Amino acid sequence: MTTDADPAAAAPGAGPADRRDWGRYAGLIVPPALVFVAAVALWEAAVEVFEIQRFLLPRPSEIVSLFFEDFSRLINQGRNTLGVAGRGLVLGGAIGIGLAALSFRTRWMAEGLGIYAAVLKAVPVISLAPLTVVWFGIEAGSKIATVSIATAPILFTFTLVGLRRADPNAQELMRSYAAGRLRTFWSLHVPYALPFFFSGLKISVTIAMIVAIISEYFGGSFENLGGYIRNEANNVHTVEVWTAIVMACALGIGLYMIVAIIDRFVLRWHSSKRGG
Amino acid sequence: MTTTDSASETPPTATQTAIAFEQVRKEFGKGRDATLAVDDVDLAIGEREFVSLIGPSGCGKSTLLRLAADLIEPSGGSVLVKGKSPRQARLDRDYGFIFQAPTLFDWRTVWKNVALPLEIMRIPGMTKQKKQDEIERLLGMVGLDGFEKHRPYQLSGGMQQRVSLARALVFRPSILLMDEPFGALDEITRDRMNLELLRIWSETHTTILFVTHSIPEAVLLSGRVVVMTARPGRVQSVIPIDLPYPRTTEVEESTRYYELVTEVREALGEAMAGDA
Repeated sequence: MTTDADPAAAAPGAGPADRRDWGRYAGLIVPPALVFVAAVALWEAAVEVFEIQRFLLPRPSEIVSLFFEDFSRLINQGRNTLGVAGRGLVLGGAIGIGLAALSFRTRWMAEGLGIYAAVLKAVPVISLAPLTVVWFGIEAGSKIATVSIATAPILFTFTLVGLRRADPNAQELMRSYAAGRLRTFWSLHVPYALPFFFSGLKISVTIAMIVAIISEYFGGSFENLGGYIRNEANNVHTVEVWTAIVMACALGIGLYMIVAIIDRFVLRWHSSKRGG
Repeated sequence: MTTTDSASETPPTATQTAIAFEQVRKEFGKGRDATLAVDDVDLAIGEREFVSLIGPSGCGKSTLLRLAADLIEPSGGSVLVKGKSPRQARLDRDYGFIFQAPTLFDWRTVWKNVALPLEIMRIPGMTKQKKQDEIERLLGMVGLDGFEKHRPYQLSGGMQQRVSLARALVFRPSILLMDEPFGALDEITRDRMNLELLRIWSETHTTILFVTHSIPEAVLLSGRVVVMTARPGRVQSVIPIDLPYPRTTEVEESTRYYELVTEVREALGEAMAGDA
């Protein structure tokens, strides 16, 4: 050890305010963690006490050990599923956000599209899976299409609401500056839409993962979480199914948290993120 | 420093007309639901003049301001701003508009809020250095040195309105249209803002058309007070305020000031009696 100041320790903001922040984060993390640990322990004990058959409900400890044994395969399959969910989300987002940006100024257009977005959100999208298979084939293409059909209306609706939320005074202010449409869009409407967009995105990432796994479950390659679940469930390999579920959960939560962190960072000016 | 200090000693003289309303009529809505907001308004505001519009709520004083700003269009008569149509004046960035709400962008710092009009307008010959100097000078003028990096929500209402004022002045419009700018502030802050506005007005040689509910405010600030009647808004009387500039709080203790406040109050009383 040298006596020189450790750059990490010298970093600004390591004051009492920071410690208070840590206290707040601990308050957010510790109670749910305790609930989780208790639930798993209860599960383990229940399997033991009631002598539940392994193929019906395996012990959590068994699932965990197989999870780590199969980790490299699971992560590979997870990556494929994530790829489908991600590409579907990007495509769905491009369509949803694009349509919202095109229609938000024109009332009849926004409302005309809004009805179909609402209908599409009510349709169990997975029932469209067979159709997308006919259109785009049994592999990734159809699954990406299904994910984008599921996510586009969500991102359309949220973005549209946000774009239309811009303060009327601020719109008049931009008009008084003789600002062009594009300028007003980027400088005013987009910042207003961002909080709504992120709310939509947080919902969409979870849905994208779910829809990706279910459409994989319906057919195609086994080299993804949905395909793996289908294959192992058919052979009553319950523990294997559970490891895939754990991986799907981990990826889903991870994706959600990445979005939540970006949201927090981008919108630190927004009233909902300023904290105490 | 700029060399405008001497001007503050000389009272402004109306050499040319900055804003002219001729036989102006404004109707909102159509057919049976139409309401006549403003009717038969003739009013000329000279260059560098400070004119207040006062009247009962619903008298159309804000409507006149918005007509001059080309935020709405007249149903009859004509409005000329610097001899041009309001639309042309808006495109030429001849006026700055100040709303009752500060209408700042929370996602921008104070500095960047003030910089907004310059970003949009891209004024020829405005180099980066000139921009910086100008923003710095204006923030100093409105008493906000040291707050450049703050976000609007970290400031008090009075400070927010100062940012809004600096933002309106940054592109050096020759006219300021102010719609009850200090109406939401407490009495003490309002008094201080009034005096600062007078100082800024004399330093910047702008024409100010000022809408207010407050009789003392109108008398303290204006060269002329325009009293309006309600529904439809018409000019009831124009009262010249012959108090010498520069005005300070001492003016508010003079006998002449009280006489003028009384005169405006009586005119306002007549305007409202006509309505009843």
